[in-house]
Amino acid sequence: MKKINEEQMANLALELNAVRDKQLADVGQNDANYIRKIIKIQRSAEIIGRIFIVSGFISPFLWVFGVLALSLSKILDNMEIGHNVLHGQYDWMNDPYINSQQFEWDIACDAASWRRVHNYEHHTYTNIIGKDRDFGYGLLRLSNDYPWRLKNLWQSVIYVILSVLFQWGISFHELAGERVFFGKKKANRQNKTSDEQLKKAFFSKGARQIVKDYILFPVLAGPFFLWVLVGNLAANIIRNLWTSTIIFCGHFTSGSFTFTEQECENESKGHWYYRQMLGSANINGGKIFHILTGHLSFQVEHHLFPDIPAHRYVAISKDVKQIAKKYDIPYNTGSFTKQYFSVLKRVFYFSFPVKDDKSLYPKFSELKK
Amino acid sequence: MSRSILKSLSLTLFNIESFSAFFAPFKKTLPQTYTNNFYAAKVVNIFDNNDKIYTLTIKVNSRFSFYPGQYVELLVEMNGRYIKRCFSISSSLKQLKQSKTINLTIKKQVSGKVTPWLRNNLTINSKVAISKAKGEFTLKSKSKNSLFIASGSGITPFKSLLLSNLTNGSFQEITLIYFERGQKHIFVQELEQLTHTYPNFKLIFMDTKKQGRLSIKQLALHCDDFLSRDIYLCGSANMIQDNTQLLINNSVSEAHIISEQFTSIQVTDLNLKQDRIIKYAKSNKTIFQNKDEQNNLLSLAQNNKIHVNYGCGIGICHECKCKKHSGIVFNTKTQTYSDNGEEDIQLCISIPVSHVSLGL
Repeated sequence: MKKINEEQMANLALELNAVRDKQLADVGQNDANYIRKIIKIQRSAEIIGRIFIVSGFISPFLWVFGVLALSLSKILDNMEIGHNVLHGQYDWMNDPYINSQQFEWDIACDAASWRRVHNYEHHTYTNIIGKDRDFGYGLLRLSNDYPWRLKNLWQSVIYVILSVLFQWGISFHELAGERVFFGKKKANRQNKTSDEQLKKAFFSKGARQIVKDYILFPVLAGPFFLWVLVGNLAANIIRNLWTSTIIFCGHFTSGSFTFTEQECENESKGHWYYRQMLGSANINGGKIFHILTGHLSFQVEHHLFPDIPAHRYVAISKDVKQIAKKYDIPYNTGSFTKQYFSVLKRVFYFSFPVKDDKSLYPKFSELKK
Repeated sequence: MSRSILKSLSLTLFNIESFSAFFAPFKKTLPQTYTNNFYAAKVVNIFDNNDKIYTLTIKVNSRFSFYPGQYVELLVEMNGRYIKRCFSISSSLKQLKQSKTINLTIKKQVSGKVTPWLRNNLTINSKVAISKAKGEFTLKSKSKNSLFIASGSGITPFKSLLLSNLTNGSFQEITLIYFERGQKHIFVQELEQLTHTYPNFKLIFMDTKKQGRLSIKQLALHCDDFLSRDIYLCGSANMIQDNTQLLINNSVSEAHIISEQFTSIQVTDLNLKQDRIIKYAKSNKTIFQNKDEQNNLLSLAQNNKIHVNYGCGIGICHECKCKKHSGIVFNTKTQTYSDNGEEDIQLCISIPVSHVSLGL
């Protein structure tokens, strides 16, 4: 493949804008009904899950069912509902609760802090080394853009720990914990929110989640305290593993490009679209799989149109694939096993001081004109 | 249990401000009714006053009350979107007491999206919500004589004022001058009936097409003691402006003029090359934008040192999202015009094309 030229980028922008406008013109009652249906399923699963977890004393099978139902609730709340609502995908509904400014989700990370970093930094500067802090989350070396250090040797272990504790990792990361708690400041980063505000949000939301899952609900169960405590812990871990796995498949598979700040200075809309397509990866799957991933299995479409209701990415992907083919832009997709394996490989690969493998881990600067 | 304990319990257990909000998606009632700002309500009758004007009769919550002359915000779900519009109540207090209903008399705006939609899509039993009654356009003095001047759909609050106040003998003298184009007046029979029952009520229908707008000659002819009365005006912005000026020019003190302006601006009526006033309600600042300027609302706020959250500046991250109370903006990302009503907008991609009021 070759780098597309300025004229092609301008046309790419026009074509993708047309895809967006076609969808936006159609957004309406179906989308509102859809998200309310998902919320109903999520809240029903939560209630059922919490009841069944208590009945673990009757039969452990009931407890297992309860844990699975609660995990389902937490996954839906995190992905298809929380992530997408916080992107502003449903703000047009003017609903007092289903909107990006009001919604709060069932994870340790405060929604407003997440929104600020994720929607702005990650989605604006996707895969730009030094600007997109989500690239490796400051913990993992995922390309040779970062120099190798001894600590990278055990980053595969760090990755597993991060996955298990993902909600806490996200919470710490989104408030830029290394800056707020350890004073590691970057000269060029502006702070729009004070450290005190960030710390307050981190502790109050984190504490609320701990109180809820490990104190309040267990206490409400009286003598079955332990069943509930362990059940909630299990559901949180299942959700953490799931979201972490899906999210890592979005940008850290092989074939995902990285960019430098200079390459993206004053970039055009076409260049921005181009970068989103080169830096994201999809996962193939069925309808339920896509819903459970919050349609982040359509990471390419999500990065092109982060504020269109996500269930529309299924239809959008048909248009995007055609456009990608027309401009000879790689459309990174594959089965869950293939994509996840390539993430594991990348984490492991860069834990050593290795040479660049341009075919697996491409850089935008190395694309030929 | 006190409300604040319930709130923190609900926040801790379900990350939402109330238990009823948690269950809101399971119910048909509009979710705004859980926020204390709106009452659940439903349509019980729809009546066409003529081909352009219709009246909705709405069953309201038993806690609802109003002063005649006030308006409510009517909230409906329109194609998945919650839309609200302000309408004056045109029914009496007696009707509220007897049947727990109010009437909203609504004009279909020619190029409007909402008012024709309401007529075509609301049916009997449609679930809607209404706000608390609002507005200052109420009777100032029960002992003083009054002159009501209505134009077009501006008749609606007067209907409520008349029905509610004539019956309890509040007025000494009252005159209603009601302007409408081409004799398309509504409520004709009811108003005429009132003149028969209450001799202190005088009614004059005016056809704007034939008789033009209000003049001092007409005023002297139909209400020669207007200088000693409280004068109530209701109609379009132009009508209010012209008539207020006319009255002031003829020695009426401003303190005796009470007015209610009905605004409905549509994109099609917009003169895109006009000066605009941007109100930042929270910061209590007003910015004047020259007709040739096309700045987005984010840079306008920043240039005027109004504190504002922002991020990408290109409409992706939604960090600069802000409540627009009223006004039309042009979205530079989707190249579309907004609605005139209240909604959240992204400041960085919104150019004001009319006067705009923001919750910032």
